[in-house]
Amino acid sequence: MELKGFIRSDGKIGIRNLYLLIGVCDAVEGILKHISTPFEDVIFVTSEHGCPAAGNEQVVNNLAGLADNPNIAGVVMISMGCEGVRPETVREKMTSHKPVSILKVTEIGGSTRTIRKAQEIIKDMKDQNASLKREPFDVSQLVVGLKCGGSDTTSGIAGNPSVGSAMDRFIDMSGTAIFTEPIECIGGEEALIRRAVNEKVAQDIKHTLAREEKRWTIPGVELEFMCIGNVAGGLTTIEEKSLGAIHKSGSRKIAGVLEYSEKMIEKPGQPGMYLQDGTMLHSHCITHLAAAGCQMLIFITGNGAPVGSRMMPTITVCGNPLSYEKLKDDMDINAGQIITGAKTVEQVGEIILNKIFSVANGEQPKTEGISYSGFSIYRRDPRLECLLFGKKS
Amino acid sequence: MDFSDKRAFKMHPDDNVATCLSDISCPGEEVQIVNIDGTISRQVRSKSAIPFGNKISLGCLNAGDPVYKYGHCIGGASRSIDQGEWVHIHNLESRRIPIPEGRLKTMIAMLNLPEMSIRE
Repeated sequence: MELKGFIRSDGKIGIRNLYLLIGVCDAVEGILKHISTPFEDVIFVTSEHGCPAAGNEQVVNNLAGLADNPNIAGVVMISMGCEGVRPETVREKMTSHKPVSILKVTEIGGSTRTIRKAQEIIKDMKDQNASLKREPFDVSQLVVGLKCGGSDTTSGIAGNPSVGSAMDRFIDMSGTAIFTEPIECIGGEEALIRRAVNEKVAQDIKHTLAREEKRWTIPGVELEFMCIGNVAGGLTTIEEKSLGAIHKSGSRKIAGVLEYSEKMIEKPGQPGMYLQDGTMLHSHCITHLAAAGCQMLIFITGNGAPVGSRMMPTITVCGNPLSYEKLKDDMDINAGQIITGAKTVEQVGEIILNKIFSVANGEQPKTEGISYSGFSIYRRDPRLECLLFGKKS
Repeated sequence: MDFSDKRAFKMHPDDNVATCLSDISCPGEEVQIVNIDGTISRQVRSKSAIPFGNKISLGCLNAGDPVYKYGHCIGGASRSIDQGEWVHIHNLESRRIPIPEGRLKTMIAMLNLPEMSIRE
């Protein structure tokens, strides 16, 4: 199938034309809400992590990453004007060359004037893009994020394997995909490490998973990895959950581990399947995948939880036939047919692959426009990092 | 959930549990163990009711024995398990990050599992 998208000035491909409002600290949240209200294609994100700069490097990286996302055609950053995290710092971290405007409330003369000014800027950006048409692009420029949630035992035998089957074909065609949740790879280390493209990547996977396990298993601190929904759905241990979850990455080589740190949110280089050193927390994960440049998300669920992203059109794959029936207004793919015996994993994989291409070309998945558009991030506490792993050089 | 025959998926030849694809409503039901290629490997008689999506034991296990699914170890038996028994948090424990004791008790009660855990 021919792919058609919006070619950005840096050569990246947007599969949607959206505009992003960034509040560098949460004090401007109300202003952003007012600016975005009249527009259907304007998303706003606000950092809720306060305005100090030192220790907030991951906030800046995530904001810059979202601004760089190829689905974003233009960016307006709003600040009060006195924050430690400066909009200029976010702009400097950006690697794309799209239009960016910065407005400071205290310089412009208050909330109402800022709202009016920002809306004018967005209208101008939209006018500039009015003649933008979809043009052909190669599958090697498509990056798909993978996340599962609301998992039950169907996730490991239907939902995730069918996405894995689609991913094998997608990777063979030179597509790129990113899965994450290193803590939910525990028990699956062996299965992942043997897929590493080379010894360095094998060591990177091992190291990444071990560090994440260390962060989450501090003696004396009880944390829950198996939530009641997982257990009610038949999953018993973290190993079982992990082994089921990593099926979504298919069986092809793992091209690399993408860094997620105070230094950077790494974007994939060559096409292939990547593991992001991110998190299993769903909204956070959505932010990081968007910040790593994914244009699309595939969300795999067992209980039918319709978790998606406003920035990345989201294909929802449901492995449980009962949940699918109950929630089919939100579910795009019925992988529950594998459970009932009506379809094979490969047949559902084929349907998913076709859906990836049609969504890239503009078809709206069922939850598009409704989904998550906040700014939850996995902000590793720099104090804990230092205590666990020592001071960074 | 019930899809005609009582079937359970065995994901890998080395596995000693299979995932039930329909509710096993009582002890003594014959469950068809289906390989992922769709072939039927054998039948196992259930020792208890087992809800859809849960695991049935394909053999007899002693406490401490590894439990295999997807061809990988998913934990250890926390007590002996008979062939045909429901395998869940009351008799299978993670070897990596076990469910905290307080949460485990709550979950066992909420799920109406056959016996309390005897984790010591």
